[in-house]
Amino acid sequence: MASWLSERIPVSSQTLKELANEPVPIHMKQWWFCLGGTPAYLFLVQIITGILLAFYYQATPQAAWESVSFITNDVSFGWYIRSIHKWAATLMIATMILHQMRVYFTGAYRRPREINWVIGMAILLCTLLVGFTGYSLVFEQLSFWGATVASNICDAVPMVGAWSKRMLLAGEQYNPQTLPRLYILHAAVLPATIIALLGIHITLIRMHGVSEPEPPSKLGDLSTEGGASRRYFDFFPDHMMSEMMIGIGLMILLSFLATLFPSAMGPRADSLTTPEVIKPEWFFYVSFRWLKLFSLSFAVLSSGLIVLSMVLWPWFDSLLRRVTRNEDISVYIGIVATLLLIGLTVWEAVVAH
Amino acid sequence: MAHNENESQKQPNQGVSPIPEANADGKCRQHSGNSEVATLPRRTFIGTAGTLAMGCGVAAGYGTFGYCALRFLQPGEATENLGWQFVTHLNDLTDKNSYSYETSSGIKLVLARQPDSAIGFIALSSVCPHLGCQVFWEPANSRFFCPCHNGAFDSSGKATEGPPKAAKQSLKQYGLKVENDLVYVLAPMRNVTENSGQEGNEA
Repeated sequence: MASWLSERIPVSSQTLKELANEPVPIHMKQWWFCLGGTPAYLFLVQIITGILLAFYYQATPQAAWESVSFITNDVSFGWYIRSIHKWAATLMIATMILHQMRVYFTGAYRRPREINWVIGMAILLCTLLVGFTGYSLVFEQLSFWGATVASNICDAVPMVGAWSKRMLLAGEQYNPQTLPRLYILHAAVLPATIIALLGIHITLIRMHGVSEPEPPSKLGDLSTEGGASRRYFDFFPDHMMSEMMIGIGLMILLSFLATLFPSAMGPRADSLTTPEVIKPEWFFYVSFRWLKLFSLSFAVLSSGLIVLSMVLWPWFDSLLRRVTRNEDISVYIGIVATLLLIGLTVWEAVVAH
Repeated sequence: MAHNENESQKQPNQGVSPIPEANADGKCRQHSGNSEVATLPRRTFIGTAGTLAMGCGVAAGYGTFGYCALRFLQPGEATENLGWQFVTHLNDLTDKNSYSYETSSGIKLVLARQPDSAIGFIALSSVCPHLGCQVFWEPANSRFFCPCHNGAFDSSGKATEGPPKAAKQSLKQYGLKVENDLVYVLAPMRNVTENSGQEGNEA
């Protein structure tokens, strides 16, 4: 039996072991450094729960809200699958931001890993778009006004704005063809893009090896565990075990959150009334507040520049370090940016308008 | 400094190189001052030209498909959604400063007195010019307020607060006409969230 199989699938267990056994630096034994695998695991959860939800969801203005309501109230465990999908989205974005902050503050994006930072940023932007298109599909009030506002933000972008708005909405304004577009972006185009980017992301990590903070002595006791020379451990099974523990922990957390705070249904979309208090999902609070503070063209242009500078940060960082002769300049900028981000998010969260 | 020296050492070496180098296109690069003219073997030329031609063919083929796909995704011209709709008799407006009206599809608009205009009134859309949310009238503050990004407008539709003020935007206007003392407005006929008559579906 074993020889029958090995003849048809000519892969030796030795090759598999070599492929899987990436030497993992010892600092990865700290949970803080395992954050990258968390959004990847949650992404898998999203794919599985997303496929399940797609069995019932209908992407037309007449049926969308009713079909989500049907999933939530009538389908067996519908509320559970939908709530897991929503909470995993929230945690995916949160852990992705944490992973990005870890990479940023440890300087892991520096040469030769600049390209992987750029790809990571692309994954983050795609994920935010998946989040946005996702809550547009429910066709509750927030879905409709979110899509309307976002498409008009697109419109304010110089040159390509009007075109991209038309492409997003399939017309000048929200119309019956809009929802299928948001759906196919959410369920096919963007996830496929994320899978491709994730493939490159992980391949580059494998090729470069996991970045190691320097000097290793700063890591304290961990680096001397099992003798000072043993600075690496096996990916399989050691690191795999850590990731599986994180995975089980996440499933428990997701089930808790889904049970205690299940996704509810907001009022059905109504193009004639904007609710008196309206807010996007929490990960857009920053840009929502930004739009309230500044005129549209300034808000759009400045947001674009901020995102662009984040994407190109590895090169800005080396430029800034050379100009200021301060090795930690990016850390200070990062602290200010993080405080600003948290400040604007909290501000938007606590006030009605 | 050390970097500069390195470069100046390399350059003369490159200049006297006697061997013509073929680059990716298979064409020969000739160094200036080099008397040897490189000859391109016919076989290589035909091979390269053939590859290029096939490459162009493949690119053109997939390019055509890409163009078709892009045109497929591009929405057609918007169908005309505006139509003249009866609002009220002119006499109803004489002693009023503003008059609220809801079209048959439920679209809200306000006729506001504007002495400069042809018929003394303008029809204000309730769509915020900032990012397209619906404004509502706040009687306490005598203003239209947009809940999305805190835009505010006075009773004549002029922006008084928020991003619309910064951009000097006013509430959009619909066309208005009077025929035989009857007032008509040129407003949207349909709205996309209409629930095809199944009201009361909200849980």
